[in-house]
Amino acid sequence: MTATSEKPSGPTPLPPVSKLDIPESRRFRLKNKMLGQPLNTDQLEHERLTNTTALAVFSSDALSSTAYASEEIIRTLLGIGAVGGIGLLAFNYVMPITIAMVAVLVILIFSYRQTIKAYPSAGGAYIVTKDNLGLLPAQVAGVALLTDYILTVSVSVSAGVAALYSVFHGVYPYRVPIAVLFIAIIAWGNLRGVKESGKLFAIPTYAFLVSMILMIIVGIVKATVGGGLHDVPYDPVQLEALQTTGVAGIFLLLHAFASGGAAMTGVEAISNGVPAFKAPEWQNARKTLMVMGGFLGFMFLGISWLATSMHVVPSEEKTVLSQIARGVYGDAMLGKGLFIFTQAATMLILVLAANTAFADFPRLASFHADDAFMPKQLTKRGHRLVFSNGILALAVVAALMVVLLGADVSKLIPLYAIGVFTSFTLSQAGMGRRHIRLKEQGWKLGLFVNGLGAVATGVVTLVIGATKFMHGAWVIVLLVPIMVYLLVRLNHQYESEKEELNDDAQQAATAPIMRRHVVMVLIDRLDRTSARAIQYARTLTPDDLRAVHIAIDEHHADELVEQWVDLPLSTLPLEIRECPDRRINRTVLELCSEFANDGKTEVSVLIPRRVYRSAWHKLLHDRTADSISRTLSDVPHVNVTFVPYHLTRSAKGQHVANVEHGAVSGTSGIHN
Amino acid sequence: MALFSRGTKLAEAQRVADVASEFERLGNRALHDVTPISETAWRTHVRVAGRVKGVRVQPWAEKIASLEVTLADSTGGITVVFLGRRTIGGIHLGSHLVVEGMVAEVRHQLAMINPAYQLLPSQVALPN
Repeated sequence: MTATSEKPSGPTPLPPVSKLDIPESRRFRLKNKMLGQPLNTDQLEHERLTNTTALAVFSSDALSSTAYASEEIIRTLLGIGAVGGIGLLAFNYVMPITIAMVAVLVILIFSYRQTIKAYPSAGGAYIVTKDNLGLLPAQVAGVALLTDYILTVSVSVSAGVAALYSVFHGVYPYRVPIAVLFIAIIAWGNLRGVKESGKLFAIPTYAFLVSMILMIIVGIVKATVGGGLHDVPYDPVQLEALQTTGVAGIFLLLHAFASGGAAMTGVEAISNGVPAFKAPEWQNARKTLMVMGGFLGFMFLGISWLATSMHVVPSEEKTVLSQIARGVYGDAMLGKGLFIFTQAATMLILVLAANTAFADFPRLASFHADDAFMPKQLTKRGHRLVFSNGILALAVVAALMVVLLGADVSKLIPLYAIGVFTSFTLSQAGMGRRHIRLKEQGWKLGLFVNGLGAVATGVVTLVIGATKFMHGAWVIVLLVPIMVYLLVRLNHQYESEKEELNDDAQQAATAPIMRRHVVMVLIDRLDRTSARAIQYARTLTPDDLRAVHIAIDEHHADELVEQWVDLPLSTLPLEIRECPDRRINRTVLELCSEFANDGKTEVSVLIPRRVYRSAWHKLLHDRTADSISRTLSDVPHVNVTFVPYHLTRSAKGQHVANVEHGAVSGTSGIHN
Repeated sequence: MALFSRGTKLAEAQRVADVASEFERLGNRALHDVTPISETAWRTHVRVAGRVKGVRVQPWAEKIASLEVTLADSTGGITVVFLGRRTIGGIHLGSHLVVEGMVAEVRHQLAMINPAYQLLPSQVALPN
């Protein structure tokens, strides 16, 4: 614009971006409304957390699993929803199983103390395994963890909804839509970039901690000092004729143990997030891990103990936890209030646990993608600096799981935990390998701890795989190898592509240019759209410049010829091509290939394209231009340039002058 | 249409058939000794037959009248330039021609300039 101004003047500064008439896309405006203003890359925050906040942020996943772990053990032992069970004898085994699980927890906690020290920067199972065992085991660990993150979302949200309908029974029929709604809300929040900020996490996590500890203490006090706890009423018919003994009995116990494994998920969260702690990071992380382990063990034991002494039988519409809370607090006014507080805290922490998975899944997926084992889109940070694609993928798959399994925690549990234990095993084995390799100070003790961890979690993995196989674990056992195979194939694809693209790039860039350059302007009829393209073509100085018309209709072609001979454009001949089979794309392709196949010619095809603002207009026109460009891009050295013509703007008269300034001014031929 | 008796109809049909076969005979005679376009070489005298698959229109501004077509058979294509004319009756997209003359070069492509030409009736099949 400045070039055409009348006064002779010096150069002017560049205009501000806000003055340029470049409207934002509809998609971007929608994103702005839904997600808020885009964040700048340098706003990527590395917030440091105090130990108290860090406990809330990282442990919600682990702590929340106590809300359903004991229940799943009891369900399995009672044989609810399965073939075998051992009836009321079950309650003799709940505590031993819980204690066994807590023993595994202790081993895990001490193993992870090693990991935290060794990998203070970023120590997820994926990184540890990749570093010590290689890329392929890392894929296994990663995929196993990813499937578990998906299930964390499904299980937590389903359990959260269960906490809700244990209070409000009317909600029960709508549990699936509510669960999906929860997932959608969490995904939306994460797309907005809910920072793992302290307050948001601290309140529900500590509320849950307080409510659980209070409940357990009140329960213990009532049981020992005040006249004992009442059995929760249940339907005795349900438990009749359920006697399983012998080998089947041991299998059942193992199965119950495997169900309790759900309580261990999320223990790895702290080791994933060591850099978020205040300095000295690893020491603070270790302390927090110990505190979390303590709380987790205490709550797990406490809830199992209460469930045992009250003989709580889980029912379809009431969770074990809600029955315990009701039993402990009684039906008085205060008791009712505490009951509702417990349930609310439970629901909140479960939803929050899902949120943890939303933070971890996209990050882990981006690690995979960084190593070219997953689609590169997963490494891109979106509008609000979060890995948007990973978040969306997780939300969709988790919602699908919830819908498929009817938001039923006990149907989801068999799929759960096997993945996380696989990754525990691999990362502990990786740590063991590291100790042997580096032989740092105190490596023998470290090797013992991590070795024990690897063996223990390995055994648990096998137990889970074997006992839950028929109940649904087979899905994971099959899915993980298939996924790993696919990821490895994807990796080969990426690697070979990269190799070809990087091969002698410098030499290719300086290779001699083609001897000839032919430019063709595709013209359907002489109108403003093609006038724009012609005007642009005249700025180029190729060896051969021509307009090309593909004649579908002879009459139409003759008309164009008549207009063309009147054009004062001696340098721009028009070539009419016949197209008896009406395949425009093919004809243009043949024409281009005629030039390009001598290996000395670069062909540029200019395609005038009308740009529509509204989707309605787009519907009205076949996208011939786009389809031609797709066909032409198959031929090397045939290059396509779109010359846009902005339809709605010129209708408002803004761009008309621009076109008329060009060659077509004063000609009568173009106006008909 | 009672004016036409059955006899005159038959005679008319016979006449049309005769004309058609005469065209075919002439056409086939024109096609003797033609070279496939792929075998034409620069600065040789050739006789080729083909279909007009492209027409080039030069705007008047240059004040030079010319008609340029792309003639193609199944083996290849060649540019044919007629100087001094803007149009030639019967030469348009899809018409079949036999041209004979020297092969020259226009814009890096083989071309025949002002060749002798014959129009072929459409019922005559091209040899190549």
